[in-house]
Amino acid sequence: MFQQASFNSFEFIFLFLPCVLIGFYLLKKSSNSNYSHYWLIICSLLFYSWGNLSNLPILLSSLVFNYTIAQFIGPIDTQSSLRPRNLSRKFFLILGIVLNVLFLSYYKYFSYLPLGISFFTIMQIMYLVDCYEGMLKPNTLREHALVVSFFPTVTMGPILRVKNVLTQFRETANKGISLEQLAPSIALFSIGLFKKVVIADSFAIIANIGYGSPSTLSMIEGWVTSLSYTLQIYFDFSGYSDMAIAIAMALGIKIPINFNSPYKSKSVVEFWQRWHISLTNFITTYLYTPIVRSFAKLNFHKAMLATLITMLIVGIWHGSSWGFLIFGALHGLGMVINHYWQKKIKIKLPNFLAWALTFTYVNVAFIFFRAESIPDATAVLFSLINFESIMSLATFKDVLILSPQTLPIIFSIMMGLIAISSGKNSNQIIEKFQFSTKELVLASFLVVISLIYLNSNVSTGFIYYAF
Amino acid sequence: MLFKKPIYWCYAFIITTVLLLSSIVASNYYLDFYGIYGDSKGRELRIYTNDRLSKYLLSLNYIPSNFDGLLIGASVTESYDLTKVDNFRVYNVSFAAANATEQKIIADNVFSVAPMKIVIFSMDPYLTSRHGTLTNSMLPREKWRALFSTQALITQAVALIYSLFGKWSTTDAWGKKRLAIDSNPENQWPNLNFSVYLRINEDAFDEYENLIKTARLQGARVIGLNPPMYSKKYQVGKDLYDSYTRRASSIFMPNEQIIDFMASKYDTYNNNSLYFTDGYHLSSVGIEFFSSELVKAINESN
Repeated sequence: MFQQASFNSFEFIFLFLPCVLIGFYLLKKSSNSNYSHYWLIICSLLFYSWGNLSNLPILLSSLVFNYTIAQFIGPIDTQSSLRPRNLSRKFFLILGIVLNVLFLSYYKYFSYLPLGISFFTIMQIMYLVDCYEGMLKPNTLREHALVVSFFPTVTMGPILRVKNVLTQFRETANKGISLEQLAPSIALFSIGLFKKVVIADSFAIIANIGYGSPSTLSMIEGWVTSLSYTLQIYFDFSGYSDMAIAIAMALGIKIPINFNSPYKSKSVVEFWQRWHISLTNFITTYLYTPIVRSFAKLNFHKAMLATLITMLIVGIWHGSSWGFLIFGALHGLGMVINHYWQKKIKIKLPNFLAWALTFTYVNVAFIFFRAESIPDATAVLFSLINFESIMSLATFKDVLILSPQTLPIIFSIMMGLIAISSGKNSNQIIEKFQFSTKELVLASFLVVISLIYLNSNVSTGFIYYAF
Repeated sequence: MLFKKPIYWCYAFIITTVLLLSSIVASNYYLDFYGIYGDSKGRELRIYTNDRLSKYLLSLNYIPSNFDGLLIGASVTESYDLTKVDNFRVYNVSFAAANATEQKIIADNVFSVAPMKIVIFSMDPYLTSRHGTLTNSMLPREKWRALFSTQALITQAVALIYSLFGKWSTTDAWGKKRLAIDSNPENQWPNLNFSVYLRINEDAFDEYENLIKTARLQGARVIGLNPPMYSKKYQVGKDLYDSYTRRASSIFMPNEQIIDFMASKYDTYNNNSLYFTDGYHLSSVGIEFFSSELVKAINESN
């Protein structure tokens, strides 16, 4: 039934999700709160393995391995009974991290890519470090499985700190579910679904045509192509994150936001504070900080070197192609220039200029992220300054010409541009959510339009399923 | 208005959404633009947008319920008017960029409901130059998508415009495509790469041949149609084109009629650029002439 576990499918929306929620709410009312946790674990594993059962042993082995290693690392103040006396906690931490990195690298670069492996591996590395630092005691296997396999986040994040989620599961274990959260979660899910199936998938049609023929693009087509992908990836990923946050909210779990209007940023540094926030938090705490600490005497240049190295690793985390490496390098370079500008040049750019420069730079970096190869990326890049062919629409002639068939795409693009340019993002909308008719009509409208698009030919998978 | 309890908001959301969805589904079911959900006998269904998908959907019920003949082809035959064929009601299932795979899907749908008495096969090389469907829109799920999709909404909107202003229907009830342009000056015609146009995909050719056999097996009168081409264009790739035509003709049985618009008796018309919009597709004058010639040839052999 499921092609692959995905929020943007009829099976998920009308079958899986209602069953999970109803089962969870009913079991919450039972005397033993563990039942609702077991129910979530079963549903999460079902979600993860649906469409590709071969993924399941990979998740389970990672889960059991990290659970076991955490027992060896154990709490700071007690001697773990499992840990051999001659081996230190640090040894098991390093062993755990190295094996997790090897595990991830093997599947990412030498084998097929199991769904969500980048996300649940990072999450568990964070968990091992947190155990080592004494920030939490090792989980029971039930708790570990509950958090790591948690279906709203297992495939594409946001990357969670086990401690934060587990605390909430423990705190709410013996409480009934609050239906107050159900209404805003429905509204947020509607927004996320609309972002993905209506906006992102329509931008994808244009981006795919442009990136499919990079050598024939005129200047206007080059800009339309690159901007389409820049907007596609935002609406795709933030749409997914909205849906993940919404589902978790309906289950009584608050997970942190992953996007905060990143394209309003006025510097590359600010961009990363607003884009894929959970990844930024991970790389700041678990990559950048240890690299900086490893320098004997820290100065500005060494900090910048750490920034570059960190962003290169972020690039490689996305995949083994040169395009991802250049994407990471460009962002690292952008951050270094930002810091250098602030510290040495100290001239404050006008807000609009700062925004335009940042957005253009981010747009250019995404060309390397999206293009199939470096020559393709170079072709799209040069098309942005193709003064020999400025206004030709030859490559896009079938899509951009006004006809009844292109109306859904035009509608979606207009919606996307309105969403980008309007003041509020989905987080801000939900913060001020009211149980009013206006919100009701809007949410219903978004769901109905999304379902219409979902039932049409334009629906595609999520971009970050490939990472 | 604020809801007294959060759960009331949720109930109202479910009710509103279901009502909205149901109204869209019900309206498409009632209007039934493709004649799929009820008896479509006697209806006259035009196509408002997306010929490929629409002709696929019409082939499920409307065409076999109302017609006993088909014209199989691609864009060069999509505007042929077959309303005056004696004794048969021939639906033109040709559409732009069609190939043998797609035409076979449509024909098989029609044959599975009712046998056709006459099937005219365009011998346009384009039909066999590519194999497989161009889009993923010719699948059984489209029957249910027609109740609830962007395509269904666009069709409703365009149908409304048509009923108000009489514009934007792309085909008539017989599948005849409205011409996008009446004529086009010769100096603006595109140059066709014959080697691409005449490249035969063997799978597509097999499918074309199988389709003819299927039509023959279920008792249809099979007719070949070699469409006209502007003589200057023909001369550029004469050898390749003739070779293709010979191979395509060999599929037909000796007793089966082949109407050849490249025959010398049509030279006067094929030498006249006013009959074409690009050398291959016919202008309104060309359509009028060659449609009547096609009808005449069929009627004479009836």
